Amino acid sequence: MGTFAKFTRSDASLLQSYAKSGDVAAFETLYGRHKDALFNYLFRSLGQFAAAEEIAQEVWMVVIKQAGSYQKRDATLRAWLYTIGRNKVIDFQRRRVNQAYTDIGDAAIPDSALSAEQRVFMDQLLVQLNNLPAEQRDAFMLQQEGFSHKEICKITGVGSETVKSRLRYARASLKQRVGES
Amino acid sequence: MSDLAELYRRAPNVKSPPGVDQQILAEARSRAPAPRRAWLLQWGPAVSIVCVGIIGLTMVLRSGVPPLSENASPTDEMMPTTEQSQQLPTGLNADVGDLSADIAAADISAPVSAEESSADAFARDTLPATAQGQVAALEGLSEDVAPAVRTVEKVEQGALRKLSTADRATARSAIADNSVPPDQTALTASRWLSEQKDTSYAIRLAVSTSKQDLENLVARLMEATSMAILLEAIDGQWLLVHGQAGNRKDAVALLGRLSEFPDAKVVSIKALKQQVQ
Repeated sequence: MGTFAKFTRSDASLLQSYAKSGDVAAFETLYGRHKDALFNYLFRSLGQFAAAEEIAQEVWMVVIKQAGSYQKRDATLRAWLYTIGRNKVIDFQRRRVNQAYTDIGDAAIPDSALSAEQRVFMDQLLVQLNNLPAEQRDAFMLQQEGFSHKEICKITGVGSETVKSRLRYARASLKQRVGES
Repeated sequence: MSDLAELYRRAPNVKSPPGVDQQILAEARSRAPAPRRAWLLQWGPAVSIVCVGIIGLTMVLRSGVPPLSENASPTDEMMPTTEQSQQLPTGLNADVGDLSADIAAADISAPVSAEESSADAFARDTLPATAQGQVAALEGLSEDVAPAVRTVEKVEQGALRKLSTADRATARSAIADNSVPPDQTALTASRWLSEQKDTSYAIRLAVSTSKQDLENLVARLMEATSMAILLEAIDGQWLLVHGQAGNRKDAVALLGRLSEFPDAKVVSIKALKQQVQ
């Protein structure tokens, strides 16, 4: 695959090449486009590095297995990826239902990954996210990841009004918390 | 919110570890379908047609084409003579005779048995309403889903006729207002469902997927919810999932899992009449 083609081909086209012709280079390009953003989202959702590693593998395994049946008309590939990721996160959280959402001590980011200052930011973010109810956190994170309201509706499987109200409640609960502190 | 949004943006991005990347890419390589041979795809059909043509022509030239009799039509030549018919094996002749006798004895104008009449009456009472809803739903469906829905219709009609009277009564109560989501994807259905009242739901889904994916799908459905589901394969391509969710949450969970399978189409979701207390 030429360098130019590599950057111009759509996600759907790359996945189709992989699924139909076994074009591994196309999959590698696709993977390279989304792997870090998805991993970052998973890590922030789960608050644990090891868990994010496990879930990321599970998500991509679904993509590999389902590549042949992906159809562009339902959602963008990125939205599909995050839908799978979100479902896997929910499953994971159900499995560890008796544990706190995130224990910062367990985040266990490898030492080389972040500087001390970055680590402080990350800890603050995880604490703040942890303070939001799961549904509001979901809507907020997807919005921050750049998804439109419509896409958030598709990913979370709820209506537009519900998404808006979740974002509104998230805002209100943060204001209240700031007021209390 | 804006503070948190700011923090979200400023917090460092964690990258996918190289170890994970290697494992995923290795898996992608091992599961990649074999590349198709472009030459074979482009020229294969043309070459086959030419080969078949040459072989056919050779055979015709070697054997010679027998001329048609002037008085006999081609149909006459193909029809077996009375003598040829009589040469059929005795058992076969006897079978054909039995069948003819059965057909002659059958009175097709006679009413069907009471049990069948009841089933037909039920089907008449129930199915038109269902069919109306599904015809409306069909308008919103893509062409590839519509045949599957029609198959579902047939299967459902057949299944209803086989039910006992008591089960039919239950089924009748299950087929309520026939609220079918306008767009039949799992995601849309899930969204529609999340805005409904909390009742029990009977769900039918049509899923087109490969056998391998089917196994994954079944595993995922089982994992997602404790609801009873019945799977039924149709035409080796479509899978019907009949499920009954005790509440809206279970139904949404099921549809949420289905959203991982982009070609899963929801045929119908029906709210049971009784409200969950």
